[in-house]
Amino acid sequence: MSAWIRGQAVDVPAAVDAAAASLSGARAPVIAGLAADVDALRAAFALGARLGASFDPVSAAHLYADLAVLAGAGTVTTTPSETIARADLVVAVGARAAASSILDIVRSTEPTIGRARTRTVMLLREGGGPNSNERSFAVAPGEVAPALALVRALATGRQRLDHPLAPLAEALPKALYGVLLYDPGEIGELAVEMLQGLAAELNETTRVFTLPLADSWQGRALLQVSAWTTGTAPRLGLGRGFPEHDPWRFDAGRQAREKEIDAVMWLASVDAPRPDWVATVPSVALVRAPDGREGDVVFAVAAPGEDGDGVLWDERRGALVFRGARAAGAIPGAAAIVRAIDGAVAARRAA
Amino acid sequence: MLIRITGGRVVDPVHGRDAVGDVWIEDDRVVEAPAGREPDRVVDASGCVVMAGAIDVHSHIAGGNVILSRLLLPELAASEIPSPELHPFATARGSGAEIGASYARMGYTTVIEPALPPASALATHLELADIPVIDRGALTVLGNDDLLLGLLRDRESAQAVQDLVALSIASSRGLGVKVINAGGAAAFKEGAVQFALDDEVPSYGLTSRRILTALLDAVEAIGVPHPLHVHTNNLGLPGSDDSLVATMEAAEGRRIHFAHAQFYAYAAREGGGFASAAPRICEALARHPNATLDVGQVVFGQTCTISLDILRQFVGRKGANPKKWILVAGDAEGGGLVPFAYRRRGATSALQFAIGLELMLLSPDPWRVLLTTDHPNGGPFTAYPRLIHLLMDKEERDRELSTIHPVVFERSSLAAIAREFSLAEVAIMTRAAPARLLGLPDRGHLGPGARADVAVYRDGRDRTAMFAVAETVLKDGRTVVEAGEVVDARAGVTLNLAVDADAGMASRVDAYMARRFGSGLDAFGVPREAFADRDVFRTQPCLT
Repeated sequence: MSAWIRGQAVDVPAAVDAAAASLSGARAPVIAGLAADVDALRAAFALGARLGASFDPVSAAHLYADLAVLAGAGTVTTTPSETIARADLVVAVGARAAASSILDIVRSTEPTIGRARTRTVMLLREGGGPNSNERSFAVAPGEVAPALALVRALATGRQRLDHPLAPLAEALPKALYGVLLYDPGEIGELAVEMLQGLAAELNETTRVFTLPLADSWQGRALLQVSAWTTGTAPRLGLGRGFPEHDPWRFDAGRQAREKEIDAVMWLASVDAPRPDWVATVPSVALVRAPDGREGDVVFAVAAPGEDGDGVLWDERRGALVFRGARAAGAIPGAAAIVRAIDGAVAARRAA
Repeated sequence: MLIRITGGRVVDPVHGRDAVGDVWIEDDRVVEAPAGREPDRVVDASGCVVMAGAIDVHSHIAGGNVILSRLLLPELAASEIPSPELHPFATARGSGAEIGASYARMGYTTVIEPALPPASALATHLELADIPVIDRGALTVLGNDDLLLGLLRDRESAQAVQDLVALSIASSRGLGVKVINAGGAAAFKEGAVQFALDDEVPSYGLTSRRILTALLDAVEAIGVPHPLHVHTNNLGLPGSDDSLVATMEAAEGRRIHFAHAQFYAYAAREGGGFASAAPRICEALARHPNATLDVGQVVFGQTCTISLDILRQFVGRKGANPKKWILVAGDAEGGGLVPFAYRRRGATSALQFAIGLELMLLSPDPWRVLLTTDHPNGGPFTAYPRLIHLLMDKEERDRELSTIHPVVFERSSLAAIAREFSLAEVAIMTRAAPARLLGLPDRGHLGPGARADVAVYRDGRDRTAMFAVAETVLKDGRTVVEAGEVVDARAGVTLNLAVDADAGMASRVDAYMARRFGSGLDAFGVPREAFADRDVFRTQPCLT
């Protein structure tokens, strides 16, 4: 079973036709989720251009915590592999960074390239006790950004205080290759801005970089495809025939609440949490392993790298990587379904 | 399909043509005038100039740093012109679709992205493949990666270095090899902020010179048609002409191409600042027939400089305008992005502008000095028509000089240069020479057998207008631009070099990658399957 209309199993062409009818009949459709491989995302932008749709990814909050800082002040970053190979000091900021697989590798290895020979790991997070052999700095809930501001002031000599965070601030300028590991979605824009400013300033005298963790929904892949396809990041709208980037205006949750959108295509061939607002507008859903109730029109699509091919963001590599299907299946890929819908929309428009 | 382009002034310096005549095309190739056959289509080129499609050897049109530049300066992407249905996103500023359309409208049909980091080759190729109309290629970047530096530090054989370079070209699907401040990024990661040809990368004990010469040797031994493409040390500093000339000497007769040479043509002055070193660079070029360069001409206006030379970009961050910048310490080089506004009334910008034109006008050989803006570093590639105009018209040049900072009269010789480029010289500089330099014998000319990439321009004294919008452009024999509009948003191909990779080196690199990156060589490849059902690549042979 690979397609449903209102919970009833149908063949794929019938579902494609129903999806095209829903989307092409809408005044303000949105393509959301966007948790998919590169080819499916390319197809989604082509469909969106034809529909005049807006785009809002499930990864938006995670992406914007970094993007706002990047566009406002710039960033100083490194890669997972450089961190593992070169860093003599890694500071995990936030609980997710402390629990990340990259930090696990950092903990179990020593530097192999460059000047450093040994490595220290420090943790800065809300609550949490110290790990063995690691210095852990606990801050009150919601206080990560102010704590980073204080660390920055101390590390750059603007403040001289006897403070529990002083050992962290003292360690950073002494690092030969320091890395500040964080999850932007967890710590938020203000803390990201403080971290990036800290790293930028420390590079006056040594080398310290940040390493933001990727979200789990292929937001990094989407960001690249969106930038090269439209010249800008999502959220964006194509309703006026050209891309308009506006993170507030094209927030689909807000749009749904304000009844500004009247159809949605939810694209998630990679597992992603579907927000409640999707159920409030006529919906077409492309998801892996559906039960048919995920939308008004539902398609089962292959999961890239599992039962279908696809190019995906690889967190460990910090790059896009091709993942062939582990087992070939009969389920179509998301790109094929999106292109079929696009073709059906074009045919309806031409008729 | 047999096409006859007739009545135009055919400018094809490769075949000594510069007169009104016909160009015949059958399918995707230029052919001899066929006896006794009528064309299926006639293109009336009366009053027009007919040239081969133009080729850009150095333009940053794709890759992770280009992505970051869009995100750093989203304000530059603002555009409110709807795209035609035929060609979605063609008016979206900075998009791949806009890049393809903009080049095609100017009669450019092949463009080379000069920075293809092997660690992110797939992403760069996916982006290149979404640039429509034109053909693309990219240059594999080596010279700061631990694998190569480790081989050199351990004094492994020249054969091992050659095998590694060949494998890197093959796995990244490069068309050639580029080195960017050899060793400079590695030194920066160890604290350096200065790095010259004979400085050492501390942890490796290797000089930049040693890395450079190893790559020069490897490129020659492999038979890469395009010479090693070199971004030398000390870009943009007063006295950087010393770096360029020293690097030219260091090549010791091996083929070498210097990227964006304008950014090195800065002779240090006593008391600070710089004057034009264009005469010195051109004199050195005349003494080194093995060397070529592209200019990296500055264009007035806002841009975002993009470079894998993270050391120089870090040092240059304090000149950011607006005040924001990005630095990525990548798996080898990474990237530095620094916004910059070249100001017409600014002394430094004006002098840079003058030096670029000087390099071209003083050039001892138009076959060896190519027009680029190092897009977007010197300015956008869309400035080419205006720059061609300035090269062809002394009066226009004088008018331009009267509007910019007068330092150019004191510290450059531009105002005294009377030379005006002919159409044939323009065709050499923008077509024939880039094709020869890249080893692409099927383009850059209009002889029988050439790929049918043809640009037809309405002739006129206003060369800016003439070259900004071609009357007609054919790509592979298909009309892609008509009356200045893109009428066929076909997909071009990406050119890559056919290189045999040594199995032993592949096995060794696979093990290294698995240790360092957590996944083997396959995860660094650019498989055809990644492009789904698209036929993206065309291989070019190595020299034999």
